[in-house]
Amino acid sequence: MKGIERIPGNIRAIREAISELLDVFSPFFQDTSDAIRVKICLFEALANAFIHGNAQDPQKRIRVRWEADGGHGDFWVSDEGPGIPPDLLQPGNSAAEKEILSENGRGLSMIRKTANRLELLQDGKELFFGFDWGKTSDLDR
Amino acid sequence: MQVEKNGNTLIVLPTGEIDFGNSHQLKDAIKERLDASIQGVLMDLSRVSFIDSTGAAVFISLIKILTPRKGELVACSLQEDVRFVFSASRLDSILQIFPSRQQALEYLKARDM
Repeated sequence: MKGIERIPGNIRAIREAISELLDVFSPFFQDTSDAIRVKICLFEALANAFIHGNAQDPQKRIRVRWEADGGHGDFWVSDEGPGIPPDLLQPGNSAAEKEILSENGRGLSMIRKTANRLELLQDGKELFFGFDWGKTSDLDR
Repeated sequence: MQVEKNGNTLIVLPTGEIDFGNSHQLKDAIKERLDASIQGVLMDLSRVSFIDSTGAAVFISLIKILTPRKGELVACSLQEDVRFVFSASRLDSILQIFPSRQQALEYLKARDM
């Protein structure tokens, strides 16, 4: 299965889109942690796109392209902003990893701790993350 | 959200999901009740089903307020998904987590809170 969502720039629409995507993906989940892993990553990626990428502009949309089958699920998230600096994706580079009591910069590190694949594409304008069902993340090891 | 005071401890009982759409409201509501006498804050998460990184930041913010007072933030009664979030966000390495409210309160009481 695959699809594309274009999500309006408001909190309610983002929450609803995440809920709908989790419903679509739920038949593929193989263990109890798959659902929460996907939920964490969708929340962090879409909140980042809405708050930092689109600066909470209600006119700007978030694009989510997705693919799923019995073995894996993949997401590509992009917004209308300038993109994510590539170094923020490297282990140890986020604010929360440099200072554990930082109130910012925790979202991308949470994605890295839960997804099985993570990459910046299109010069930082597209965030890719993927899951192998039933397998815990080893990106931080 | 329910909030009650137990001596110099504030017991907070949020409900539902704590995410980027409501975490700032939760933070403001707790801070409003953090008068100078409060040293301990117990977050009873028995009714919370999900927390995102902005929710995690609320916990960090409370730790930063309480630490200079020699106070402490603790959490109890985490649902399985919230426990997973605590691990992914490393919250589990910076605050004490208890299986029940009673155990958390006993811990705070032993610390005169």
